[in-house]
Order: sequence, then structure tokens, then C-alpha cells
Amino acid sequence: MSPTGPGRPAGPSSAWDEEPSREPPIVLESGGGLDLMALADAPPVPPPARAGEPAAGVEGWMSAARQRMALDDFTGALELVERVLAADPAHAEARAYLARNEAALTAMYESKLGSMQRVPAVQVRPAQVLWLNLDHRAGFLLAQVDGTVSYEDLFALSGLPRLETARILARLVEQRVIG
Amino acid sequence: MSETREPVIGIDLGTSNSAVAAVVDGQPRVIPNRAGLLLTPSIVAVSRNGKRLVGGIAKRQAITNAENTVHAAKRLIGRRWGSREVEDAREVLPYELAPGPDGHDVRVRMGGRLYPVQEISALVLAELKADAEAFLGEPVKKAVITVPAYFNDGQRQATKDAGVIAGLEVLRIVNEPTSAALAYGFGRQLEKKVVVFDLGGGTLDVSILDIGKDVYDVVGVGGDTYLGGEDFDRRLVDFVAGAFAAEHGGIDPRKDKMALQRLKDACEKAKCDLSELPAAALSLPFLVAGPEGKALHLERQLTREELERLTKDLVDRCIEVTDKTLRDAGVRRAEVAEVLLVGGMTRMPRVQAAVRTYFGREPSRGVHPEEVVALGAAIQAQALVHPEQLAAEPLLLDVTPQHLGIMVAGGYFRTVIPRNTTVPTSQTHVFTTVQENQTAVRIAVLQGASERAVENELLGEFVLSGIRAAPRGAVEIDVTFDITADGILGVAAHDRETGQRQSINVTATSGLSHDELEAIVKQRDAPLPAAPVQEEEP
Repeated sequence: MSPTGPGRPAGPSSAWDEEPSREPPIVLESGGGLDLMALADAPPVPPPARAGEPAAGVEGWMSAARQRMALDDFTGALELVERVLAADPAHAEARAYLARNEAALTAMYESKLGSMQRVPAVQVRPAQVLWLNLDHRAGFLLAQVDGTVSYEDLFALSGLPRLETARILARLVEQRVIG
Repeated sequence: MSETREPVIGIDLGTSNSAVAAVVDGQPRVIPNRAGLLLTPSIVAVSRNGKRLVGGIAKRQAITNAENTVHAAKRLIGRRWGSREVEDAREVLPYELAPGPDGHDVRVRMGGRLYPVQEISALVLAELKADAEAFLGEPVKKAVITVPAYFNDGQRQATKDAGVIAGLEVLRIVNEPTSAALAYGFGRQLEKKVVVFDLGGGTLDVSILDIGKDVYDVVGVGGDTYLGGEDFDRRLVDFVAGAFAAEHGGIDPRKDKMALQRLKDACEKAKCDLSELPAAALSLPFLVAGPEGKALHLERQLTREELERLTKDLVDRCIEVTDKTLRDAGVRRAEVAEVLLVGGMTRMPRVQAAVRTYFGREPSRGVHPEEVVALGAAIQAQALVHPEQLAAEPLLLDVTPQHLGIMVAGGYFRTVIPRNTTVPTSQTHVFTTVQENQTAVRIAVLQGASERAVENELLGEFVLSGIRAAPRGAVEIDVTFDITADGILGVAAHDRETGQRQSINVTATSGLSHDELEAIVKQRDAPLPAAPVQEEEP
């Protein structure tokens, strides 16, 4: 599907244009529309596993995280550890990984933001924000970015642990949602 | 700015928002803060990373970091620990309050440390001072600060102490309605009775003033210290959150701190928009986590009719309070020549309509409701420091905000000077002994509205001895209360027969000792130690 297809705003490249959605693309048949009734009746089809994806499940993700840690792939390992914690917030090994590497991970994310005194601004139009793939914490932080507060201020008002704030902001910068 | 003389500012230190103004090129004007806004939220916080936040930035995290964010400090300043007002505040404030070292004044816990309330207010004042210095381009050391007309001596002194901690010489404490009327009458020759209807973020204050030629006399005050814009915001938040929950299987955004913060901010903005427009949009993408972890959006319209329906009883309460204030002061509506609307909430058309209907006249639109108090303070400040620059120096007359009297037999309170008495004043009442052969009487000087002495504020006490021993009721003692133009209260007791006399001067105390005040001033510029704030997932 084209980025300017039905329901998608046209315009300059944006975060959701550059990164494929996690959902499989919807293809319109010629002359037809979506069969909403059938879609509602049928159970949702899980997205196909991506190449190189670790086996699903807490132990599978944790095992893959260990392998990535051994290769000094902090980012990859952290992504998997977060998945583990989302499924099992009390997972001892995942928690220990975060605690052990918090300073390094925070510094890594902060380095992607640049100066803490910089005042970021939202780089996408308000209508486009709805199409982003964010959780409510990222939604909160994004709502605070109004061109008047610095990154350091965002850390102060986020109410989240510094690592978490840095991770969300770094992702928003990477996705060119803010900058 | 053309004046080369020492700059001086006027500060409206509000419960919810504050503003600073100065006379620039002969005209009073509100100074924008460094974010470009004319109002600065009266909010102070210590963030999780130990950073001290003041104003708008503190407000943005007021819900997600509620226990370390102090708002509405004005409700507490100069109050006594254990007083009804402090107990009421403890029920609604999310941050912790504690008694001071002597057990009398109130301290606030923020970022793991206890602060005197004066120090909290000083942080807001210091922010406004810094904004003024940035705008005027030179240091500012002198200010006039406004307070509600009902503030007692202790609250006024505490506000003055806050100014000192902020590095300001407080030239004068001025009543807010007086200040508003001053800005309204600036440069005009007015002679009329004016009602100032001040509906701000947290409180409603109704004041009646007699304005003569450059003389401003407060003849009556009343209000509700728990009725303001925040109540209107809360109605909107509850309405929108309830509708959202109904639409999304019971998911209530008020239960998530981040969502509630955004919802409250958006509802406040929508409320302001609805003063100008018939409808306002709420757009809060990714507001709260849904049942499968996917964030839910809140997108809806709010109409002015909905806002008016949801807040009708609040507007009605405003009018009831106004009516009671006029009755207490013995003023008929027909006597009121002008009604001044002050405070952001008076922008709401329904509030304006209610005031118009009650008074049977159009309220004045000649003054900016959110700026007028600071503007009046700036005029007064200029008059005190550079009187030659104003055509006439305004003379401000104030009234006693509460009844003043003494404790009598049975633990009752007997008023000597009623509230709303214009100062300076002097009044004498005759009292007699209540016991057989009594040779001494204890004079306890109190301030308040309760018939029971213990429920009022004790200002001071002394003993008059050497009274002639006689049957009860046979000895007559004159008790004289004398208040000077500076607000100093002197109380004297005089035995008519023996000529024995005792007296005291009551000095207002803010709760901070002189040594403590000096220590705070010394350390005000010291860096804040990183606060051991417990991390918690909101």
C-alpha cells in the first residue's frame, strides 16, 4: 500500500512512513471494500514472524537477550528484556539486567538526544500523531513537547524513571516525531 | 523603558496563578514571564531527579508527582497548625503537612525536606522577580505584594517574610480588591461604591469599596476560600472521564496519573476556549492503556452549554456568597455604582451573566480580569517610590478583616472592634469583674469570628493587677483597642477607680522566628541537595 493510500495523510516523510507497521498491510480488492462482517467474525490473524525474531515467550526472549548481551548489543538486548518485563513485570533476571546496565543504557539513549538544554519540537502534524505506534507513556511525554521545555525539563516532569524517559525520547527522536 | 530610577514592581501572589507588573514609560503593564506568558502558576515542586521546578513546568507534573508538588500554599501561609483552615487543607492537599518546631506554624514536605510555607511562596516570588529583572534589564529589589482583604495580621506578616526570603524589600502589603480598584481608577477622578467580584483559580473574594478622590476604602469583604476555577475544571474532567469510561468498557483515565494530568490540562484549556467559542475540541492521543495494551485516544468536542450545565450550581454559589457579603456589610445592590470582574473565571459568559442579573447592571469591562490586581500593585509601588511620577498619590484605607476582642467569663469571645471597621480606629468597652474580691484580670486578645474564644486566634495576653477588692460586678475596667494606620494593634486595660493600667502592643508573627528567617535568607541561593524521592511507576 502506498503511504498516501486511504486514510493515510499525504505529506513529507514521517515516522510511520519509514518504519513498517507491525500490522500486515490491508489490500483493497479492485472495486471492493473491506469485508467488515467477515473480519469481525473471524479471529484475528497473527502477524507473520519476522526473520531473525526470537522464539515467542518469556524464556525465548530472555535467552535471545542473553545472546545479544554477550555480543555487547545493548539495544537489542534491552528491547527483548522490555518484552520480558511487559509479560512478567517481576522477572528477576530481566530486572537484574536493567539494574546492572541502567547507567550505560541511559547514557546511550541520552546520547541520541544531544544537549540536555536543547528544546525539542514536534516534527509531525497533530493529525499525524494519531497514526504513530505509541504507548500512553510516550503519549504523555509527546504531549509535553511544545517548543518551550528542554530535554532536561522533560526528564524532570516526566514522572518516569530516567532510563524510561530517555528510552521513550530517544525513540521519538529516532522516529523523527520530535527533534 | 525610559525611567532611569530604581525599578519597583507590584506582585499579585495568587492561590493558583501569580503576576508581576511595573510602571513602564508612565503606564502600568504586566511583565511576561520568560516563557512569554503573563501568568505564572503559583506552584513549586522538586522533581524525581532533585530539580527544583517553579511555575508552568511544576504545574505540568503536578499530578504525576503530586506528593512533591506544592500548590495553593496561599491557603496555608501564616496559618496556625491545628486551625480549621489547615485541617480543611490537609483533607484535600496531596502533599504532606507537618507542624513547625514550636508546634504552631505549618511546614510542607517536598522532596524529602520540610519547608516553611513562607519559603515555598518565596520561590514563586523569586521567579517573578527574576522575570521582572529579565524584562527590565536591571536588578529589582523593591515590591508591593497583594493579599486577600480577609488575611489576618499573621498571614500578612508571613507574606512579607516570603518577600524578604525572595530578596525583596516589601514596601507594602495591599489588599487585592483595593489594588484592583486602584488600577481601575488610575488616572480618573472617581467617587462611587464599587464591588470587586474576584473569582480566581482557587477562591472567590467579594469586596465592597468606597472610592473617593484617590481614596480607596474597603468597607466589606466576604467570599469562599474553596470556590474557584479548579472546581469548574474538576466538573469537566469528571464529565469527560465518565463518558470515556462508558465508551471504553470502564477504563477510567482518572485512575492513571499521566492520563489525569493530560486530561486536567486539556479541560482547563477547553474551559478557557469556551469563554470565547461555542465549542472546543479535546484531542488526547495515546491517553491511556487499553485492555490489550494498545493506547486509547480521547477525541471529543465540548460545548459551552455542557460546561454551563455542569457548573450551574457553582455559579449559583458565587451569587449566594456575593449576596451574603452585601448583606453583612449593610450595602444594598442599588447603592453599587460599579462591579469590577477580577480573576480568570470571570471571563466565563455564564458568570458574567449571573453577576449582571444579580446587580441589574452590566459589569465593568474596563479592566483586564487577570492583570488588574498586579497592575494596581505596580501603581501603588510606583506611588511609594517615585510619587513625583504620578499625578496624585493614592491613599489606601483598609478595614479590619476579622472581629477583634477579648475572652470573657465562660470562655466566650466578646467583640471590641467588629470586622470591616476602617482603620485607624480606637474603641473602648467597659468590663466588670466576675468573682468576689477579684484583684486581677487576665486580658486575652483574640481575632476571629467564633463565639467561643478557643476557636479564635490568640494575638496576645496580659494581666491587669492591683484592682480594688470588691463584690463581683462592682469594679469597672475600660478595655481600649487602638489600631494605627500601619495596622499595629494596641490594647490597654484601665481600672477606673484605682487608675491601675496595663497595655500591650500586638505584633503580627508569621510563624518564623527572626533567626530562622535569617538562616533561610542566607541559604536561599545554596544549591538544592538531590532529594531522596522514591521512584514509583505512575
